[in-house]
Amino acid sequence: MRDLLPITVIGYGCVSAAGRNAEIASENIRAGVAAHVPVADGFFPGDFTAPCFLVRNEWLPAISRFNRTILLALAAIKEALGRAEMSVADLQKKRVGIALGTTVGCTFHNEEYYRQWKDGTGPDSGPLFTYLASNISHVVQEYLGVKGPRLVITNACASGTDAIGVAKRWLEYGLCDIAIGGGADELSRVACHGFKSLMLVSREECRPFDRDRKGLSLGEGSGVVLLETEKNTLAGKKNIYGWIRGYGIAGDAHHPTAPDPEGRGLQQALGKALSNSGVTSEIISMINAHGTGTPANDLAETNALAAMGFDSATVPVVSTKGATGHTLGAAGGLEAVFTLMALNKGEVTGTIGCRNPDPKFAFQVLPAAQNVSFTGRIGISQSLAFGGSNSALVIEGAGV
Amino acid sequence: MRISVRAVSGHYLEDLCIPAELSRYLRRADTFIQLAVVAAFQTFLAAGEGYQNTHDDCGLILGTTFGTMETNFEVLDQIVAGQQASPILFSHSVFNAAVGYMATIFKIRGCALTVTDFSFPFFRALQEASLALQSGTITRCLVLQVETYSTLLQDARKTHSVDTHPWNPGAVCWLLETEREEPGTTFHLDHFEIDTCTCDPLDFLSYHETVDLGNRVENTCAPLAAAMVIGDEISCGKDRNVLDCKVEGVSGKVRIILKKG
Repeated sequence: MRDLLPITVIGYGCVSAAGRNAEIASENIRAGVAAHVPVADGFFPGDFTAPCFLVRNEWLPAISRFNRTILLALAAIKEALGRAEMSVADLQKKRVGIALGTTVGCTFHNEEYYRQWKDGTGPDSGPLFTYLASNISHVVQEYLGVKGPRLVITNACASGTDAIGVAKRWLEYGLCDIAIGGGADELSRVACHGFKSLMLVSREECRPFDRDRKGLSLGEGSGVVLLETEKNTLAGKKNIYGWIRGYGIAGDAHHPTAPDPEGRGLQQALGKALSNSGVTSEIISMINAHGTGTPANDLAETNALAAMGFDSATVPVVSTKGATGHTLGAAGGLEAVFTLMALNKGEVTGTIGCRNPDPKFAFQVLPAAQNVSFTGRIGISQSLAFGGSNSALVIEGAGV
Repeated sequence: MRISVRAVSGHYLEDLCIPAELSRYLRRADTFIQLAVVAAFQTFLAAGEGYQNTHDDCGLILGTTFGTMETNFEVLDQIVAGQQASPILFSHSVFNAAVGYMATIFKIRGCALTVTDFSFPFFRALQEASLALQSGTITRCLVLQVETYSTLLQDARKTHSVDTHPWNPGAVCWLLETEREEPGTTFHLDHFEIDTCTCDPLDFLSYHETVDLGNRVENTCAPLAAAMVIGDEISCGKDRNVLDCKVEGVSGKVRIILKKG
């Protein structure tokens, strides 16, 4: 093991139902806005209707050859580059790593093609070619005209967090000069049907950590961070918005789909992220939890946080999924951005939808309509995924 | 820090034989999961280890070109027919389902990642495993490529690919670890690079690659083939001290140098 280089956040961007960019989303979260709309229309089976969190089409670039997941990613990347005051031409002078997480974005779900193929009527090849040209990191790499390592992380709901961890490691080991890490996912009919089949979708608004929580609400979006080694950032006299201090990933080894009720894998991931960051849990000022609003997830997370010794009186824990819905592969990217912004502001807003925190939890989260100010600058963003994978990022704000 | 290739295994679906001790875990699993779990099991056996040890310091990184495509279509079948999706099928259609099974069965608690790319998925997974090992967060890592393709994809190849020989589903698995054995007994990763370039997406249906092993060149035309060929060479080429492998395809090239001593 060697001493690792500090990794700076030189730009960030996001798009979600909470807002077309990071500033607007942050304001809406602070105001307690939950911009969900009822979705049925074939997204869910039968007459089932559920609130979903959608991104407005006019917020996305109009590039017809790309699928919606890629457009979401490009919107977030454009914002991140703008915040970093970097042009695409600037990027092209560097080795740029692209690590993006997705779930829907890597699957071939074109129903028209599939129906025609099943019927033996010889489908139009367009959708198949589009699929073969839609590996999200490959597309972003070619769209930006950059060279460097690339990876699509398909680790279900932890993909975005893992992508940022991967991007951080590439920089630490010199594989690239700048890295884009995060995630993107569009709302998908298959995901809606699938999560409904698992009885995880709430027909009401999503209420993470609430005693009356009924499940998750699906959403779409993208969140990315633009990373660099601190040495290069200082040499280039760029703005520093914060640092990705640590990354940890660990498996529950408990069940292929359900989380370990005690959150053992999450505890291990948190321990690794803290160790990687070189800080102790006492330094943590806030935690942006995965907080999906499903009974099993919220129980596992709160048990893990209690077991790790965090104190709810001093460490506010929130979920932002009440404002964005569960955006699957994008969630880790969006939540890393929101965590960084809260750390820079020195204030975190309570969990939208959580009016009555579940008293059975071993750890009490910050409920809706409560704001907490803090003076520390280091926090955690954490994700749990199908397959029992858990990931955590230790993030430091620069106070800007 | 040196990273050695402790054990290697690989098999195609036609040779898949589920060991009795795994059958209860894999009763409901799809082919993608079965291929992955059996490959990991055989790799642990090849390393001379039992599969039920707890692997706290072991990671797991699975690369794939097309993921669980066939199972995705089985879910789509139900949706298109206006039926409720099966929760088991949907769970298995998630790309990291296989990694979840492996982590549970083999009690692997280190990193567990699935990565997806049309070009060089095994080698991208290998690169991430190498970095994870160098970081010291794990001391061993299973690296896999698993492919099941799909009937739809095989049909599309008949229309759009010059080479229409069906792709064989299968899995390749390597066990990497930070070097603990006496130098000379196993290969270690000496050099690794991936260089990608722009290509026509249709070329992913042909998947022509050349695999130069130093003493011979093989022309392959399937996403799993290069990893399988190099894995075979590691297993069979015990008398070689240097294995300089170059894989070149339409989407770029990979070079791996493995050395003993």
